[in-house]
Amino acid sequence: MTKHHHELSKPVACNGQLLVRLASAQATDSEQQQLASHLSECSQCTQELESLIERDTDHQQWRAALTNDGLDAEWQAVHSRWIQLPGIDEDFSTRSHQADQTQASISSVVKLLHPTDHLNSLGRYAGFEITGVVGAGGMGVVLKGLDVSLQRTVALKVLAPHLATSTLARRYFVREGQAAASILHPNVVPIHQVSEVESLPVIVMPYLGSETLQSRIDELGRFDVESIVRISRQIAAALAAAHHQGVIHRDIKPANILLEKNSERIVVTDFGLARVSDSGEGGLTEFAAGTPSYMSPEQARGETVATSSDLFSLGSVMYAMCTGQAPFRANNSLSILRMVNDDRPPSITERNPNAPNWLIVLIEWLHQKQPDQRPRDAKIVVDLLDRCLQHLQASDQVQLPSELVSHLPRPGSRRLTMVATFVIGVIALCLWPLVAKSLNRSLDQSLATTFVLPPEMMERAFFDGGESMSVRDMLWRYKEAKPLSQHESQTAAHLRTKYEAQVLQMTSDLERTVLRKAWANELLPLVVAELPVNKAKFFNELNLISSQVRDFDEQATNGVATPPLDWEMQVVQAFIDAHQKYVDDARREIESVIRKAKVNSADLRYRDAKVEFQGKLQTLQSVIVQLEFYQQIIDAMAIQTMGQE
Amino acid sequence: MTDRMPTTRISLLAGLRDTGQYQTAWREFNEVYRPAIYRYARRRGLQSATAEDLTQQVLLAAAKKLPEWDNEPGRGSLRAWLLTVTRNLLINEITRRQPHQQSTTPLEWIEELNRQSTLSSLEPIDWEYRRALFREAAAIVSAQVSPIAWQCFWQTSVEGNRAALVAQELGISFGLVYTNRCRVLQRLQAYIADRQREDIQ
Repeated sequence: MTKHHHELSKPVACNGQLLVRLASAQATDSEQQQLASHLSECSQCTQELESLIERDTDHQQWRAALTNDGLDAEWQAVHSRWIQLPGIDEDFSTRSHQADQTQASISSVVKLLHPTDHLNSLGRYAGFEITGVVGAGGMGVVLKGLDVSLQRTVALKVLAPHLATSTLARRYFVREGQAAASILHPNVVPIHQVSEVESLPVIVMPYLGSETLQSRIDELGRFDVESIVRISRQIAAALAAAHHQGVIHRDIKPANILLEKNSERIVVTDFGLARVSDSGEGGLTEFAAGTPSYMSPEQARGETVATSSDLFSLGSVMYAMCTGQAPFRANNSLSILRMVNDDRPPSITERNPNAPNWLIVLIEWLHQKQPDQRPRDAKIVVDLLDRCLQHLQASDQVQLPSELVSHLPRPGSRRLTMVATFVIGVIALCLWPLVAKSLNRSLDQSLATTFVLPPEMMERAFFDGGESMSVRDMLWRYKEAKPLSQHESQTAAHLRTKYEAQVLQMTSDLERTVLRKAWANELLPLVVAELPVNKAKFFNELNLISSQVRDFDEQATNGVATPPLDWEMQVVQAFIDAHQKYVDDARREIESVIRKAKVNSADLRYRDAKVEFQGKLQTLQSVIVQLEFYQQIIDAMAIQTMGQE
Repeated sequence: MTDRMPTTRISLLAGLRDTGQYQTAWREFNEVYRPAIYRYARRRGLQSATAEDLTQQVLLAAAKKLPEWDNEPGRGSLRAWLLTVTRNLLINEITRRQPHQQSTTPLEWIEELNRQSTLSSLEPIDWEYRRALFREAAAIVSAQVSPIAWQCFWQTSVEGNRAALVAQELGISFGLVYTNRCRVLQRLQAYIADRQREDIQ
């Protein structure tokens, strides 16, 4: 061993035995400490230690085991295909928290059931005899129920309880249920009722069995041309009806299209419900469950979408029927988003040589990256497909539509469509506050009633928001604004002024903290979902974290329970950090909130207290559950970040 | 077809009881060792799709055998039993399919040689199992220790960075890098030891 000497006074002399023990990880705590100070000053021992470590066989094994090789990357790709399988039954191998989440959703909904005398019923809920759980996802649980008075089977979609604590998610869920209820069309799942039972919103619709277009694609691979045309025509017709009512589906994909047994009649389900998951905690669904394979590019970029977005998705569904595979496939959601945005899907002809040219032309037309270059509306697509079908049945009498014979859509209509899209976009944007307000009102009025869709919802003229808008509306407007657009910077300026003015009015730190809590409450649902970095930066700039927050934090670490004033702020900060890829900071931030909540719940004085969190009085236990849920989302985001690098 | 692996149905096909013990043991086993089986199959020269298929079949067969474990005389841990069952199934299956083939690319071959020189005592499949176990330990311990401590281990032991550099990057003293590394390794080894004790029992 080393035989060198130190002239300066040293508390510990060189000790070869100790080095060996440290290298093979057998040193005790006190030995480690001795060595730590010694090593800082003795370079020879350090060298000796390094070479001991290199020669240690355990060390070699660990390095070999933990270093990723080519096969690990390959496995990742294979494995992610498995865990992204569509379907309701969770795979064993799916990340356990996702399964736990689903399990938690199911069991918390099952707990709500009331006792019943009815045979074969699990219990009563919302006036129905519940006979089973059809499925569950991040967003909610679908129950199978029997309407005893009408003797019909229904499906009840119940918003997941963890989402129900978010006013926004609840509002969206109800709003979209109402919107879907307004569409009466043979190819759209009819909505019997939208109501709220024991503060959980419920959508009631007929029970239609479970065969989806996805399962049929999985089973058949490719479809024959006539089936593709027939099914696509029905989807397009459903979209035309919905778009006419001002409803955008936002999540057209094979799993949302139900097939009647042994026939080609389809119904489109889950109208606009995708929106619920945009609104807040449901963000997890996006990370974990769904592949964004059927999204439109504008959706992938997080921009406001118009009806043309559904048409892109229809193109993707048609592609899947043609080839047996989704058009954009990769091993993680982020790569898929990038592909949706930038790439052309692999050629259809290569995957299905039997696909006729006109069908490919139609799919490519729907797949235009620029919304204004797609067919103008769903009705046009219905019309085209009608003519194609007639042609297939009598090719000598009916010619193919000329649009599909030439390779590109005629350019003449393009400019007009662009203007129209713009106008629709502006109207949609300006109407948002109105819609939000009217919904707010109706939600506040009564919770247990059934809603009827206000017919004026989508058909108001321009509304100049600006100064008269509430902070909440303005924040949403900012979030939905196109990144780096003028509109975005204007809204940002408004928000900044508003915030500064409010902060200035406050005289005490406590008041300021309360104000920040209010802002954080509004921001939280915005930052949980996907967020472009520039928006994350702006929200950060709103300076939610402040000196008072730090004070509370220090107290908490000393084991003193603190009021939950700053919790939302910290959660917001954690998400903002995560969006900006400051993974460690994000984790630390959320951990610190959880720690505080736990300190509180361990304190006898507070254990049974209800605290205000996210605008609701709730028990500490339920707050902790929610916080841990946020922590999981942040972890999921962190994993994605690492995957990217 | 290979992108539709009906893993979901394994529980149903195997007639697994809906009891916690089976479910948890199986889930853990499946998560940890599935990649090991795949990797081994690939190293034995199977194409990616075939390896996927084989992994699936082996696990399915193992799952179907699960109820047999109940009747096993003096049975040990379910996990250890599964390891043995899977190992036999896998070796049978792979020799049946690919009688002679070796690693496909020169790069893999060199990799294999390197591995064998350092870990010559282990059969390739046993090494893959071991590797999976190590990675499981790493996943668990990394969540238990502070991020800095983990980095001290990871940077020096896995990435092969010098302690001085790591200390500088993490802004901690140099000796602390070693002690942190030592503590993390102790935890990792404790985890492995626990697992192995379980398997022997």
